[in-house]
Amino acid sequence: MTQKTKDERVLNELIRSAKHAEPGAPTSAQRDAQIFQAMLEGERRIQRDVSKTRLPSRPTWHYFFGAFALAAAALLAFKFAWPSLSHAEIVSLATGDRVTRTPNSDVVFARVTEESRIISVHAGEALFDVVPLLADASFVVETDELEVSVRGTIFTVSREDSTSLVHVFEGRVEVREGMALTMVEAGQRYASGHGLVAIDSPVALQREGEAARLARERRPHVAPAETAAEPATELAVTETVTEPVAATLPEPLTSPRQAGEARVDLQALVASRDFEGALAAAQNVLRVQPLDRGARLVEAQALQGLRRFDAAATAYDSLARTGPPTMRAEAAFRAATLRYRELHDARGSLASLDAVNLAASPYAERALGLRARAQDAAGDADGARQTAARYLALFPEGGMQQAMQALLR
Amino acid sequence: MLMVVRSPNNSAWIEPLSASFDTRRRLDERTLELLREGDRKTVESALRALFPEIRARLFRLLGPRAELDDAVQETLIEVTRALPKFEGRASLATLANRIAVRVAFRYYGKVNPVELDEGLASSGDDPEERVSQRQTLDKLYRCLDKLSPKRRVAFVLCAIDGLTPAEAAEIEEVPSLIIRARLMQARSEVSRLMRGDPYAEVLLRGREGIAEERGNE
Repeated sequence: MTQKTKDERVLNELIRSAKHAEPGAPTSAQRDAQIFQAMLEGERRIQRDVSKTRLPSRPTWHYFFGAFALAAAALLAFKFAWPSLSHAEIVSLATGDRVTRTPNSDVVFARVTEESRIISVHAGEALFDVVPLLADASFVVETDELEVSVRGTIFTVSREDSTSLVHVFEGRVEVREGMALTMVEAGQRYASGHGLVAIDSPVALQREGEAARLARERRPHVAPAETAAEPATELAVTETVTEPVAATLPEPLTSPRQAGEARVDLQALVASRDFEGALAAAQNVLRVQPLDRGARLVEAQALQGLRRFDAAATAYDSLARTGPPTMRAEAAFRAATLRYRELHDARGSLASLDAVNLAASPYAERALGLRARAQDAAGDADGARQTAARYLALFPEGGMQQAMQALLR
Repeated sequence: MLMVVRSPNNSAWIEPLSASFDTRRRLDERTLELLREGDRKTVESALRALFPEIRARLFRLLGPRAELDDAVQETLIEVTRALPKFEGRASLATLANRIAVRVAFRYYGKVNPVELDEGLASSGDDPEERVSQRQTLDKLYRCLDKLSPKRRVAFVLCAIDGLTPAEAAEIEEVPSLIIRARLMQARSEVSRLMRGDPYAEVLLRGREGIAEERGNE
């Protein structure tokens, strides 16, 4: 047999095998939830596309004069008054960090998880109010010129004309430019190509930075351990507000727009352990926008914080069925944990675990361990043994190794 | 409008629709208009009809992966987003496939394979057949991971999914000659990668060889 014929036969065998492979079929509930979510998200993006392209189709001289007058007024205001940015946009991350950015900025959230946050500033300015990080977590801001690593602090990063500027309001950051590493302390400024520079003028987000620093001085430090046990895996809340105010209870809402504005501080309320406030605020949003998944998650977290475990588990279960894919595994695992640990409802816990395929999620190991224990508690000793054996086979160095071996005995 | 039913425990789901969609045909003007206007019932029917094909296509493009559901979701979102501008010159399936391929490109290069048993549907009761299929598939996708994304897509669409180069070219929006070239390059590259691999000998010996291999393990 020639090499060519051999190659052909091997290739045909590979192709034959691939043709016969089929993906595991999702349940109809999973399919429905995916379609439902896709439609909601698709509509949201269409709205965004439309608002982006809503520009005057045939600009006349009036428009030019108007634009010129506005630009001149803005320039004068910027020159002679404090650089006020009442229309700055705040993005609250699920991790509790807040990013305030100037309207013309180009900021990309490349990665936001409990363990690692990577944010790029391509243009404009952004203020970062970073919650204290866990030992193995990282928060990195990149520009084309610099890389800024943080461990819980307040600082701005701006980029203009290929120059990046870092101004620290609180704490300190590590700036890497090429091979050089510089520690920038509170009150210092670093410019790419120049190193530490004198502060000759305020940055655009100066007022916001000072406000965040003062707010942090007033409020007690929030320990990150609460969220460390069960990490939120994705960016959960991104909303726009008009002022960087401290978390407060919103007024009763009447419109979706107001709901969107109020939602921004929900995570801050949970992070500051104001569960009553968070619950009231989340329900306020949900009255106007019942399908808001971010608010639903905060509601569940607040109910858990208030030790209303039954209601919290129901809310998590609901999210596990209807939430976006990135939220489903976390919600199902939380519901199952609450039912097993707090409500002593082993069968309910198993039902929560069955709602989502957790095998491919970050919760795979813990979910399998929980399943084995729930099966044992529900009286299914054989099932528990099988699951425990599977756990030991898949995770021989797993944290629940001893508990699983006890189940096998 | 879309019917969202709320259950006592506050979960929402979509009321099932009976209307079916032929995604392979060109749409009539009325349906096209409804899709462009974002009529939820029509959009939902379209997504339901496209769902199995999108999922299967992405499975073949990406291989068994943990992110298959995420990729499907992303494709469905992008299809919904593309509908207002859909002119109906191609079929809905072509539009969806085009988007699925673009979404798949974003996932290439990411190392996150899932255990093959988790990602595959149980095909038949014969465990030997299942194991051999898993091993062969594993080999194939390891080879495909080393190909350039464009060649990989051409290989998957034509060699595995059985599309003609012209059909694949319509999805990729390139001349069919380019698809033919990419397919040829992909085939020879996979062959080159398999040359010298001990598993190639097993494949050459056919099923007996695979059974023997299992026995040796």
